[in-house]
Amino acid sequence: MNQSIREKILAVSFHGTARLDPRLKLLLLIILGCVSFFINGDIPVLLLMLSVTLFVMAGSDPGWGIKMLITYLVISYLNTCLRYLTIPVLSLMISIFGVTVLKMIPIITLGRWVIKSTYMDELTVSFERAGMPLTVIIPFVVMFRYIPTLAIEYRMIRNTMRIRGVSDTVLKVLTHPFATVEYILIPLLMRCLKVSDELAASGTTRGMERENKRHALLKIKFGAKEYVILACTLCLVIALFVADRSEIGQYILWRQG
Amino acid sequence: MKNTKLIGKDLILTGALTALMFIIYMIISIVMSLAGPVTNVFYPPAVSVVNGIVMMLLLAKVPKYGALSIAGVIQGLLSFLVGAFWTVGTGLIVGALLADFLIIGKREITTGKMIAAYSVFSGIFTFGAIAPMNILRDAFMQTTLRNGLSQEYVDGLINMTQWPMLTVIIIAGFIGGLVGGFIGLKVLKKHFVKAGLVQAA
Repeated sequence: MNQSIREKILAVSFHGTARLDPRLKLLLLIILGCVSFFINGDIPVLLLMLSVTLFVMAGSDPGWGIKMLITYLVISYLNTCLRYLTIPVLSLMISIFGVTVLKMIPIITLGRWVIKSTYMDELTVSFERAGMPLTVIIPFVVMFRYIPTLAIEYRMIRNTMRIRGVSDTVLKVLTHPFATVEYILIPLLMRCLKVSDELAASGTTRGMERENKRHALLKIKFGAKEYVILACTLCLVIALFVADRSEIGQYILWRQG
Repeated sequence: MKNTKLIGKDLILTGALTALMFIIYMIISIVMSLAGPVTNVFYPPAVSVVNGIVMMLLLAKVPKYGALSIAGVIQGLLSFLVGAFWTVGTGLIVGALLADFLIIGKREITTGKMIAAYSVFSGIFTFGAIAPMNILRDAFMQTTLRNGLSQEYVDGLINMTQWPMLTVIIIAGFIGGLVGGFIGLKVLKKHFVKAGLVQAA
């Protein structure tokens, strides 16, 4: 009995880069967030996106990486085409939209992968070992776990609204924006209260509030592998910065004739 | 002076509601910055008005010292994670800590205190999000222009954040917090107190 539980815990479904320490994953996300707004040349950004994709593909989620890479290429092509077109107001709006989406895509790629490939108990333990207090860890972990659930709840609420004919057309949403916000937000909040009650009951029975040091069967350590990857990332970032400031950064991909 | 220590249940509720607040913040800020420079500078008040409902529910369910700080600090950390300009996250964190420390304090929480604290939080958040466009103008212009935003848009932003206008925006931030708080309380009364989910405040 005891043995089988142990085996179940040790049989993790992730491999490759997904087994890295959660702290490293969050650190990479922060570095990417800072860097992606300061690197602007077409080729350096493409390289950045490529490396993010490779990293995600090595972490047991190749489909997601490829999907986002293709999305990125299509949007960047369309955005470049836009430089050769001028429609009075619309052109400005679309180009801002394009720039925002392009900046967000690498972050979304890595962010969703981090959420999907990290066990929440691993995250808790690694934060605790980093010396963070329990009052910050628990809300943070719950929040990470809750963001995907929110999407599911939202879809259910929209379905129900459609069945009953409440704010189900674009026209109704546009003519009554505040009512729509209320109709969506209140059920969501009700669900939040319910879910958090259940979560609290389940967490308390599993000893969430224990102040003692936790033990983990899985190996969670900020070890040599993590430091090597961090060093590689920093080298890559510096190289991209240099490339961005040099002539490579000025080169425009997809040059039209 | 009842039990003022945050227990596991409170922390979980704070986490769940903070997730909701952050999603609302992302959606509104992205939509409003796409709509043009004029709406872009007014996004923090708009965020505060909608988030008022969530924040009032949080403060009514967890009437303890520290709930507002945790919500603000986590939103700030997340805004670093998604790569916002660094002053935004700093504004959120400083605003939440100040509002919690100065206004809520360790005594019993009243509705007036809730609204005042939320208004201060919203005002400081607005300052953190908008003021760098004026104070750190050069750094801001360089980054945004190199990002490929057009000259007109950035000029519009800079023009909107000159001094008299900036004061208006920051005051709008405080008022946004007030309005959000009042709407939140009304919604609480209409839906949650009636359903027995929240004790009447």
